[in-house]
Amino acid sequence: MNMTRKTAAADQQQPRLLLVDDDEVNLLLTSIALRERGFVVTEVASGQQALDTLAGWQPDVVVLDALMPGTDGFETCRELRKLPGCASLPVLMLTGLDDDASINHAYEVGATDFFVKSNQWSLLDGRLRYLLRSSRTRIELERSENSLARAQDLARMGSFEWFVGASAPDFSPQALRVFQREPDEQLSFGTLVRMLPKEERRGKRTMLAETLETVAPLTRDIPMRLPDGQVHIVHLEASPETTESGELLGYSGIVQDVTDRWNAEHKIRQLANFDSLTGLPNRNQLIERTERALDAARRMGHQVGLLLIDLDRFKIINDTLGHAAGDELLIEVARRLRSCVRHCDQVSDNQVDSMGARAFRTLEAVCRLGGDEFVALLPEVIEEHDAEVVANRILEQMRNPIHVGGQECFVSASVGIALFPRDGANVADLLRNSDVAMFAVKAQGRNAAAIYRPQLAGKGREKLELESALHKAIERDELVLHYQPKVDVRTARMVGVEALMRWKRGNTLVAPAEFIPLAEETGLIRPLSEWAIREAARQARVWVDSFGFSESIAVNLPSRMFDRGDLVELIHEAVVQNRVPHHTLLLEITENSLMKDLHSVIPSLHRLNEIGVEISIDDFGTGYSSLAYLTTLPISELKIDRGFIRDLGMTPQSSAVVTAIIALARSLGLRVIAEGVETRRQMEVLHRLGCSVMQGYLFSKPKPADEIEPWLKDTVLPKLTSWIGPAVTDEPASDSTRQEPAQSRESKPAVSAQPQQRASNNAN
Amino acid sequence: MEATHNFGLDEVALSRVRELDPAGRDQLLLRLLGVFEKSIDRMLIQIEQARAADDAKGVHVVAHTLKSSSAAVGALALSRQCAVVELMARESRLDEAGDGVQRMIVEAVAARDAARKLAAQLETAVHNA
Repeated sequence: MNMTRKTAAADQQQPRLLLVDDDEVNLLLTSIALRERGFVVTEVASGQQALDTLAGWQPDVVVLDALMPGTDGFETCRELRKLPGCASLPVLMLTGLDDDASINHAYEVGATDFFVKSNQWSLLDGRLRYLLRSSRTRIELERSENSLARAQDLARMGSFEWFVGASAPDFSPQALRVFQREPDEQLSFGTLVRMLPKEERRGKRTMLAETLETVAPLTRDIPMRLPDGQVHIVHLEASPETTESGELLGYSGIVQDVTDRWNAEHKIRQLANFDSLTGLPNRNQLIERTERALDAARRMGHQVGLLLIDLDRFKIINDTLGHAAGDELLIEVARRLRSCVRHCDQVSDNQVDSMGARAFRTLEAVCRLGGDEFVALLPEVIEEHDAEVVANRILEQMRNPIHVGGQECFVSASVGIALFPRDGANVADLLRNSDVAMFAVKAQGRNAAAIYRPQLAGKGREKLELESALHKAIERDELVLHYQPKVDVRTARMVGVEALMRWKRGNTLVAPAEFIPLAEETGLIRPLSEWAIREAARQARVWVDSFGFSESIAVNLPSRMFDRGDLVELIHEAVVQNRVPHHTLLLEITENSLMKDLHSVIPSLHRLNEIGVEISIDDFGTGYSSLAYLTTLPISELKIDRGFIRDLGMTPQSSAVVTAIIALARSLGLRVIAEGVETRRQMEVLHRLGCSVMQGYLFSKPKPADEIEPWLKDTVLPKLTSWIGPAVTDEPASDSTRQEPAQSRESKPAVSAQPQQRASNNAN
Repeated sequence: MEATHNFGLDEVALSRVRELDPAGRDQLLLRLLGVFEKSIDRMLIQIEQARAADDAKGVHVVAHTLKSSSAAVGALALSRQCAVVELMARESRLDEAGDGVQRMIVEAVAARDAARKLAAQLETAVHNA
């Protein structure tokens, strides 16, 4: 007995009990009996007292005599249920054994249980313990239901059940909340379907029908327009319930608003598949889209177009305006390109839904391959012309200037077009061939579109081979310098040479026009230029030893060589190593490249001057030199562009320009030299205008180094050539005085040499 | 403890009460008998009033209450009579219950006497102890 009591008491530490009985005998006995059993008993003798007590204090359980004068137990029970916190308070109603009506009445007024009055106290105790336990269980259940509901609310999740034949699933309040509905609303299948975006409805109906037919579980993310007006993604997970014989009873499952998760996934997909600068699909995405477009095209028998778009001279913009401006420009270009196609950021994943068989059309897009390269994917092309129309639209879009970094930039593009299946059966082939077509456009002067033709393929490959061969040309000793003499017709003497680079590739001599642009593009121009400097210095030593060469060799350098901090050291090293004076090397820089990089070049020019290396401005007259700068630059020579020489004696304008350049040179104290002199007439006019130092086929074409000495010996010294006599004899009277400044410098003979490309050099 | 006389009160019922107070040396029983006496006094008044007013519910409540409290102290004859009256009163057969009520009153008075005597005997015993 003791043990039982102890265990019972341990069940709940001293439960608080309100005992209500008008009979004092019972009140006394019952309370004593219950106290004995570990209850803390509060006694009251009427219903009204009980209600008053409960208004301010809450016991764990109430024991209520049914029959009392005044407010009886039933009335008391009904009233106490209305008190705050008492709705689920366990109430045990005490009734007589022979009183069925009271028992039923007790339940009706909300008693938790009844107990027939007796002096079997342990039975009462047992019943009370049971009530307390179930009350506690109920409280815990309520708590856990609440926290489940809260958890579901937090997870935006709710459950539902549906039984075959019902017109609507039975949604939990949390599930209704997922659909942004009130807890007591009904959601019929009709309403649910109407919440789907229109284009999804048919497909989802089909899916549902198939699922029911096969009694399959269902897991889907479904876009639904909810009362807030937004499309949310609702995750549906349902499993079928069946009879033992496998007949479908219904489905139960959960719905969850997974819009946030979707957005996060979308963000990840975005990062993996889209270019962060322009927001366009990236290379990955392009490949994926193209593969899908090719699948669809194979099924449906149409063509696919791939347009490779490469901006012309983007690098120059990047180099001159900075990367931020370059980025800005790319963003604007991307925006314009998008407008040229029916660009879709999102591909419809569903073959059945929405777009149906035409879903592949959502593959259409402009993608960024990287750098300034873009690709437009046209997933359905009926004929070649369709792709050309898009390409022309793209070129047209580029014509308007783009404002970046406070400047107006003009950008053009070269577009190469490849079509599936004609120009390639897979993504790689199509990309390569559109690249070939694009290169063909670049080669033909840029800013145009071209469709791939098989005969272009060779050129692309040739170019690749050329590039890799050029890389090896230096180490294989395939490069040579040829030298074109510069002569002073007044004295009939050679005053220097210009070094011009040639590439001996097997048995052919590759002209600079064919490899210098490529070298500039690939950055190979630097090692090439370095080699030219060393080679020129080495050759000077050879000539000094063989015939006392004391003039200079002109080496052409691109402006980017002047950026190098070590150019001066490079030259110094080259001349010192070959034991020739510094002034043996003369550097030619074109007017255009000098002006473009003026600020970065000037310091090098000064330092070169300090060590005795002179600078000549090549192609003078074609650029836009700032005269103000010319006066301060440490330069020694202006070389009149061959264009003016060609027209000399044919158009009055050209002689006017040449006259002006000569005058300018004289006023600045600079030497002046004319290149591209091919006829006696040109020579005579130049001489008359006051320029006597010349270079050109009239005198000599560029020669291998070992032919210079024989040329001097056999032609110049014996004065055996046609140009010597007339120029000397035909000297204008005024010339001697006008040429003074130039002449004084010519005592230190002028030279020139060009490792740089000169398209017309070959024709000299 | 010397042998005691129960004065007609049921020994089983009394021992149930004693069980509630094993070390109490009949303090609880004494207290209970006191409460019972006073309760009978009050009930007798109430039942007279109810009968005079022909108040079946009043009679019912008194009979019901008295039925269980008398059973608790072992006044079983009273308890049985209360049950009879309670039943009649519940069914509003108060006119038929006239005799029964009268008998209930007689039994109540008897039970009160028994309770008094038992209490006196217990008090003496306690005092002697």
